[in-house]
Amino acid sequence: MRCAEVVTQLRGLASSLGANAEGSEWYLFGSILRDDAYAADIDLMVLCGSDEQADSLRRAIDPDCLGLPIHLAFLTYREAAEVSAVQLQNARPIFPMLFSETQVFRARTTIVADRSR
Amino acid sequence: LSNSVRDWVADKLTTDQALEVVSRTPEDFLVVKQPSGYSFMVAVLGIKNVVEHAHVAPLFTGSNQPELVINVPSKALWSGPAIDHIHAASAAFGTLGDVSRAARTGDAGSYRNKNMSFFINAIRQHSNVTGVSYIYERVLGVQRRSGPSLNVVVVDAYNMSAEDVRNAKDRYGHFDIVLKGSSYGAITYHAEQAAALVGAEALTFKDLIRRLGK
Repeated sequence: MRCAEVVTQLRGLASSLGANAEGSEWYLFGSILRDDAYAADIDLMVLCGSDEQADSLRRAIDPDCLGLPIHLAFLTYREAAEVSAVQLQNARPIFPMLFSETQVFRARTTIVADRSR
Repeated sequence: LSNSVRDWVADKLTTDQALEVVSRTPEDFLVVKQPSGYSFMVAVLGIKNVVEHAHVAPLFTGSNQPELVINVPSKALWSGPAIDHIHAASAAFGTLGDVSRAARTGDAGSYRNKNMSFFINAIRQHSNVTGVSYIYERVLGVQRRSGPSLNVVVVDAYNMSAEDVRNAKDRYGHFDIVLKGSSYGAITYHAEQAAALVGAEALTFKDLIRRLGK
């Protein structure tokens, strides 16, 4: 599976969970980020506001819903900060999307066009 | 097992894992081929809760015998007797994601989870240990010369969180030790607290080796 395809599918999954996923942050890490053709699973780290949210998301996410099994790691924000989880695992944020990739592309294009005038 | 689970697996192997399903045996095992040309037989189970000995034993009675047995859904447990039977038949077990890992070995039947093999060998060599056995695919029963037997759950996590500990309790029931499977990363303070709450200890491998002697 290609990384871009996985990101799209996971964003769709996160959005479909509605209030369950509100306030959580989702990060990809591991072999799938490198577009490794032999990736055997999808490493997904989800940071949660509380233990209850972590337990609820564990129940809500089907690890077989994509083409490869999802390997889930849930940490509260406090735990993630304690062990520098995002930094040490070189994790890439995928949800929530503050800006769509199209918006970012358009903004960059506009800046480049403005500079060239 | 309905053909839909096998069809789903065959489709995922072809579209997402760069493998080819070239045929099916009369027993309905998938014959999976790697781009290198290596091929092997995969039996697909669709057990929802716990894969038991009774589910796997019939797979090894015919003229064709699978090198790999996988189960969908991946979150189902594998019982110790089921695992022992598969290994005794020189075969391997796992989930959909393990098919490509097993294929890469060039001898799918010898494929083993590297982490679990490492822990089993290391624990077995401890001077106070008389035996190690699978209780579930991630739970080992450790018999000791001195001191009671210990149930050890191996959590496949870079950083072990409190949720990892609660999830292990939900999945496997009682355990004495929850072991962080990665040699990197850390155990969070809340994970240690969560383990203490269920009467267990959250340990790294180094801590476990010390603990086995006590």
